[in-house]
Amino acid sequence: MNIFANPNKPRGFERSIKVENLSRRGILKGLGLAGSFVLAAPLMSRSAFAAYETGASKMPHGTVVDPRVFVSIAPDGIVTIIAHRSEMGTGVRTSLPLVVAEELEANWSRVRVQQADGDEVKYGNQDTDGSRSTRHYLMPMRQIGACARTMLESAAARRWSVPATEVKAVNHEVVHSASGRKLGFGELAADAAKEPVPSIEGLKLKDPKDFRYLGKGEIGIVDLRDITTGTARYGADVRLPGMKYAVIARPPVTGGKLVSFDGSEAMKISGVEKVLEVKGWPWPSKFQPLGGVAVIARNTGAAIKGRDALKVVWEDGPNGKYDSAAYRKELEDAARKPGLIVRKEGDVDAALKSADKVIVGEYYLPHLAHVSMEPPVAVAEVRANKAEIWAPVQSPGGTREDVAKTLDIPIENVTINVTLLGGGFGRKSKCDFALEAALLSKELGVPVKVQWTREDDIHHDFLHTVSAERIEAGLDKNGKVIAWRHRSVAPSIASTFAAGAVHQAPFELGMGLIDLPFEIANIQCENPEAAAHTRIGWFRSVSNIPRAFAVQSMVGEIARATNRDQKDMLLELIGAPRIVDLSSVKDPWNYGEPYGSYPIDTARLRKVVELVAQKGEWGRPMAKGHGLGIAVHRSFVSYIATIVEVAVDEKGKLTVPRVDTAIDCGTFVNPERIESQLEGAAIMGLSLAKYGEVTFKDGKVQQKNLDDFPVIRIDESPRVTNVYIVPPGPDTPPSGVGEPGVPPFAPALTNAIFAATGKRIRVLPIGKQLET
Amino acid sequence: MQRKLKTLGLLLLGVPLLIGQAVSGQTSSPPPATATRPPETMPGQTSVISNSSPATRTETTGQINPDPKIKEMNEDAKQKIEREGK
Repeated sequence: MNIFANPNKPRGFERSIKVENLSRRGILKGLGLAGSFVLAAPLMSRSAFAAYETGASKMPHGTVVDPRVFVSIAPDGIVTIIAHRSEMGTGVRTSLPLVVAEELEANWSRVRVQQADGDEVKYGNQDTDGSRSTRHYLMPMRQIGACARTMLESAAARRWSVPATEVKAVNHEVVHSASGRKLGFGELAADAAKEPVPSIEGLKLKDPKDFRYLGKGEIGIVDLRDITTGTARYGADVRLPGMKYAVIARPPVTGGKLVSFDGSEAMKISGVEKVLEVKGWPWPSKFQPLGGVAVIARNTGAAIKGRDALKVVWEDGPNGKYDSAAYRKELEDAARKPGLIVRKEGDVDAALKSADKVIVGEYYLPHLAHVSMEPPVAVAEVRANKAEIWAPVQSPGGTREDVAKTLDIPIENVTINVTLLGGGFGRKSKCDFALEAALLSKELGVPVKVQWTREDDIHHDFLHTVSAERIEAGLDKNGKVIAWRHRSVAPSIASTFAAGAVHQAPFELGMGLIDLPFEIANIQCENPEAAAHTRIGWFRSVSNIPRAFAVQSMVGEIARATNRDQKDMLLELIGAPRIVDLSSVKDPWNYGEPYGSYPIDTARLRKVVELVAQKGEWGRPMAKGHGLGIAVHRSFVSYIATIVEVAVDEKGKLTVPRVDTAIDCGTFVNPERIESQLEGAAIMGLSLAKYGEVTFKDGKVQQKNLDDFPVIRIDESPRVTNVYIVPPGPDTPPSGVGEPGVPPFAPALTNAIFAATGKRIRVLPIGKQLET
Repeated sequence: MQRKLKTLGLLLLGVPLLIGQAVSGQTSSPPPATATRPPETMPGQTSVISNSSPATRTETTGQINPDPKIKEMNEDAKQKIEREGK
């Protein structure tokens, strides 16, 4: 079987690599301090020349391919490579520099990684979201490394007065084979810096067969030692001289505002120094702070106690009667009525009328909170018209823009220092917490840390949307599906920016609704209206979570109704290997990628199903109370199929003995990180399916902490998670890894529960539905 | 090949938390909480009774932000998500 086998090696770094940690004022501004390779040259921003086209050039500030921005070499040979994306557990701070090192022919043990500050003009787009880092930057990073290698080779050839074609960079040296001469990178750095940057079009990239690092899975993440030993610096670890600590009481209802407050009792708490109002903006207002009352103290604990002692009167505003139970009923009712048609092929109404059998599935998924291990936190120092921020942000470029606009200062006067993120999941692409710190520092004239508690995090999140999904499938007398109508009703993320948004945006519709890959003659997708009554934001995998749950659960329901095997039913619905024609869709979106490079290829979809079925031993005998479920989903232009084995005991206790997942993510950098992301997706998917639910009463979030919004503990995690990676074909573009593992998990799980118990779960979380 | 995830057992020892009232003695009526364990509710925080209508699926709140700067930021964000999706 032509399958990349996961390296059966223990995790861990095999080389001692150190990330240059941030320090106050000590962060290297640019590369001038880091080595002699750097020129004070103008930036060279150009679109990447690649064997495949991506959507990178359409991102804000596009892609910068310039070795002088990303690479420096010190006289001692140490190579410093800039990581311009944010590290939140995916390993991107290792993966992208590793790509540069590969093409540069650098020895990874002599490479240092330096975190970039937020500067998209300099580095290109820095939004670390959408599972885009590798797919947008694999080729640009190769080009950057190859440019630097070529400059080193040119410098050596010039010094030896030999043609450049006679020299070659090999493992941190440039070698002239004919004479046996060698020069280390450090010895050549100064001269190399004087060489012109070669044009991308003429670059020679390494032959993949010569790769030492890419695709091998032998390099641990650069942060591993620090994370393991507790010395890694996250946002909460930043401390500045004279810094004050703040927590904020925010309006408990989205759109509410402060009426009055009394801070006298708070001021009696030891350590509390000040109580003041924080400016808030009427909703919707992008990522602006909600406002409220800040308690400023000498430490976070005192600030929290001070906040507890505040007397505050809020006006809840127009969302003051948001009740998620009543709203759920409205969503479900709406899903039973026609809505805005967003994809139409054939005649669904007629096909359903003529069908021999119609199967209807109604599914509901609640709001979800991100609950990253590290709640939002930010430190800001604002003096005169300059601001410096230290924060775990996924979008340092966007944060820089928003801080500048909020403080009304030039963007050049804003510095965003990116710390490690203790998880992100999309929450930290919204910079409201950094804006709060900036506003308070400006007001107080000293550095301020704003720390969110877990309760703040859950109460004031940009939540994952709530969703009702309804699918009608019409079958002919032979059990073949001839009609498919999918209605998806959910408030849109666009409501965070647009007051009247009631329909999903194209990018949301494109996550598992209008991109249905099934070969069915009559397809209709609809999107009834849904107004938002809280802040909705991006959440790992976004709308793919409810859509995959509905579609893949429905496949299980059809298989049951027709007495078919789930996997066989799935392959029948996917149909023949082909490129799915989405010409009937006004805006297919396709994750922002050109359809030519990233089409919906059902051959790849089928392959992951077949692979996971083979490797996961689909159909193997099950003990009583055990069951297998399968699901497949394409998201972030990757293909993933998952098999879950469940065990349900007589009392309804659910455990997951085994998970098997196959992924086709095209060309990849580090299989060890893919495996890690998919293991994490299984844990997160199980956690959300079992417990994930945020509810509202009187406009207020009812959950408070991890006791009533639980995440699974280690004893509940899947016992075994096996990952199989489909090897890429020649020039197969890279695609997403960070998010695609989550969507197929829940339907594979609930299909397995059905196989084990005969009980169909249509509403998440599972909660107590299995208890007898 | 495949690799198995092995679960590791961790034993977390609970540490009793002192009640703020017992140790601070700084106020006559400190909140029933510690720095690491906030109170279940914020007794000092109240909402005036909302006279808003029930939140529905079809009606937006009608709230708009009149600040030109915020309007611009909202518009930029809308264009951004239409272009890149995220």
